[in-house]
Amino acid sequence: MTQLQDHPRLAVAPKVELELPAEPWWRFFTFSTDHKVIGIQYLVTTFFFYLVGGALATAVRAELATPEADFLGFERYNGAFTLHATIMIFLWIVPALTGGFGNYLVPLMIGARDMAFPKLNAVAFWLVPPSGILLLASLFIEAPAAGWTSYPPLSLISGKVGEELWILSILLAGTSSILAAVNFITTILKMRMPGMKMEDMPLFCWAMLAASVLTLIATPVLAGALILLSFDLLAGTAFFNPSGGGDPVVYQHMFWFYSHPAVYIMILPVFGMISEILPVHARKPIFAYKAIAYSSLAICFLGLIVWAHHMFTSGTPDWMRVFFMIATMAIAVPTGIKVFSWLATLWGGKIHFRSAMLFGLGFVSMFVIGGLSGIILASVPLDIHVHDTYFVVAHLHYVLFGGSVFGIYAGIYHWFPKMTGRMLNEFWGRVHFVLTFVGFNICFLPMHKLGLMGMPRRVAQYDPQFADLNWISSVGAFMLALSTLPFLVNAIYSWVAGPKAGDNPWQALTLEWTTSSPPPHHNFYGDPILLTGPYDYGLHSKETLDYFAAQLQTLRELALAEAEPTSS
Amino acid sequence: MSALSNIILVALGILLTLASLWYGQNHHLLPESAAESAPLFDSLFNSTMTIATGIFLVVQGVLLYCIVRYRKRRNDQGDGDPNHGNVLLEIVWTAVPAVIILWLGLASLDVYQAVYGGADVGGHIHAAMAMESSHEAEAGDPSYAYTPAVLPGKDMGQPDLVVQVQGMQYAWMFTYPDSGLVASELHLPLNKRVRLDMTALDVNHAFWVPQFRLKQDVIPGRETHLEFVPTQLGQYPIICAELCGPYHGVMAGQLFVDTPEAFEQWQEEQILAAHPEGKAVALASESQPSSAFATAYQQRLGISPSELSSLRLHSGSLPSAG
Repeated sequence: MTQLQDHPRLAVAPKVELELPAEPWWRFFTFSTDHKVIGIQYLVTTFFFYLVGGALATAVRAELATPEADFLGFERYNGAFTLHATIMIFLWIVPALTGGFGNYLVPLMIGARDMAFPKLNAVAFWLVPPSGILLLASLFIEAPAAGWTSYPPLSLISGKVGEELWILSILLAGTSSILAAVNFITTILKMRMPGMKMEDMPLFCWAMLAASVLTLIATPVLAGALILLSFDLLAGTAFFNPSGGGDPVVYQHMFWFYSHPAVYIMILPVFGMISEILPVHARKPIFAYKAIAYSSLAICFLGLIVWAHHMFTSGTPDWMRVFFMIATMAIAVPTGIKVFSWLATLWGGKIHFRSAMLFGLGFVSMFVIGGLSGIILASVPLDIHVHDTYFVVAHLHYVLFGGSVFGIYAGIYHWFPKMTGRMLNEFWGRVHFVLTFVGFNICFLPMHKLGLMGMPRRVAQYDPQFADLNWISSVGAFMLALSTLPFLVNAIYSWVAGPKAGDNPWQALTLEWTTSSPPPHHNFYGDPILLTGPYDYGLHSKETLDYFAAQLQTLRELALAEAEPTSS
Repeated sequence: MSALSNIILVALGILLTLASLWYGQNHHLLPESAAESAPLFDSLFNSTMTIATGIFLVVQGVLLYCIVRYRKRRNDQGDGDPNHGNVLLEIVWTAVPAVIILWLGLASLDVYQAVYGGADVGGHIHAAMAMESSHEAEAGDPSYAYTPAVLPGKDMGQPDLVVQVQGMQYAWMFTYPDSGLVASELHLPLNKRVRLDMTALDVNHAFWVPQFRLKQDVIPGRETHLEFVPTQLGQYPIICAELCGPYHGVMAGQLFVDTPEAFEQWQEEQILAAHPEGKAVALASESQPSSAFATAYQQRLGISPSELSSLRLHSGSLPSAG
């Protein structure tokens, strides 16, 4: 970098290739310290686990298509939903968002060459495959069957091997999250390019900062709970075991102290991505930048003091129920600010309905439903009726699928050209969106009613009065399973043979679009330059933007010319 | 803004309010209600549904409007309006949700206090129980001081009936301490205040009767409570709502709300069925107050009252022994 700066700028070599030679494909299978390689490693690995988790979900819905436990049977059913939830949370949404998009985008967006600790970054990624292998192994040895919450005493008596595999797997995944969080916080605070203040950062970086702070504070508590649970399981201690004087409710506190913030770890980065995607495809500045940025921090703080709303029926004292109800409801305010700001961003725009935008709009629409059912769950008396029912299953899928997964898809469609240098097929993207949107609602909307009417969650067999709605829900689930096929084919085909994307196919203004697609090893040709703010849509004439693009092109030629002698 | 668009906006607002109000009352999302506190739940739920429907329609409506009105037109390569903030608007959409959740929080608190009346729902750990008998705890523990007269015309003092509930994989067991009766079905007299003292023998369970809108986890090593007044005769499912093992889904009990006479009759039949040799005592009990009946019963079986109560205590603290 400094070497490049030392060279005189005027020495333009004739006929320079505008891209550095492509890096070998097998770098994705190495201990690479390049944040972009690591980001893609995360995304591809976690997408594989998403498919496994999805297959398990399909099996669960096949079981629930009829009231009798006639497909998986009772024992295997509990293993299936436990692994489904664990995989989706710890091996898909969390690592795909923070590890995948966070890694790929944060350094590019703040004009850094890499993350602050590149080796630590690689270590964090390489903890994920062993974590996944342990969990997948449990499918064949003995599946954990106490739910992803793994409440003792049940988790202490439902199979030592499966439970311990589950604990070890989560400990590895948790360690990976903690290492990544340290890296993100340091990178965002210390590695921004000269001249970029906090309030010049794209909103995704604010969201990643908030999510990383949550990870750093909350995840160690989960690790502590799991280590204690492990002692109870293997060494016969009684931290949580009532037969030795332990208290199972203490585990619930420790578990939810992580696992509620985990919800925000799984949604804050998506909030950030949506704040990037909507302005680009609506051709408008993000509405109320500061409000969106600081509401992420507000959610981060409030997210740490709401955990016991998962325990309103657990024997928590009155004062606790009241405190956590008020704190939980308060989160609606910063969340509402974001939703309304996104709507205002669309208002008066010129909306391009590309696949990325379809998923982005789908996110806003579905997440609002999850938010509204969340308000019902925050109210103590209402929660007491619906707690541990299908209403909760509906709510959490509107937040984690309608929210997080729609957001991840929006992110993939938006940044795929940057990551691979090639465009995804728009037609199949739309087919994917329609199948996902329709299948999702058929699958999860009926669950609200099921829960309110009296169907508990985590049951293999249920009252025949719920048969019809369950059948509809299962049809939706199969449609969802089917919806991944057009995406998979599209992604694989386009990665190999899609049309070339160019640097900036969406005419976006954040820094990652000023470099080539895919970007070179150290991200930028020469030093990155902030020519516009991240959301200056409609503020510059087309001529100005063309002029900026031409300037960048010239600078790139200069940098490449300078790099030429050193690389040969 | 033209007069026409103002009129359209007002008309939309009225339609939206009407639609929300209508759906809040006609959602058909809840089973029948059969306990005194259930209508309180239902009215809170309906109000919340009204607000949620309103917010849902506004957000989805604006979203759809933007999608249609602000779609990119053919051959238009320009950018949208570069407006990026409006302080007044931001204050409004921060303040309005804040007011709504403040209202909902207070309404929820109201209903919560009316349903639970400050009862010690959280329960206490058995170790504390060993030191003082449960009756002493009731008298001495300030958490049993109910908020007076929250429900008009109802005395929320001592319950009319206490039933001990034990959850185990995969069944419920109900003990009526007054008669010593142990049953697998829960029979309750109509319109009487009932308190359930609940504990689990193995893993966590949860006692849920959807028609009562009440649920409470049942936890080993700890006693939790539920208090309610059944107000509809009938048979209701008792659902275990906390994952308790592979057969969690089939752990269902039955709750019968009987007329007081039918309830008494059921109790006597059960006692007879359990102890045919005690028929004479059971028949005699009809003309005796229940405490005298219990004494006679205990004498007949050769069990002293203290032995009987220690037996109950023992069964309550079973999980800590094994």
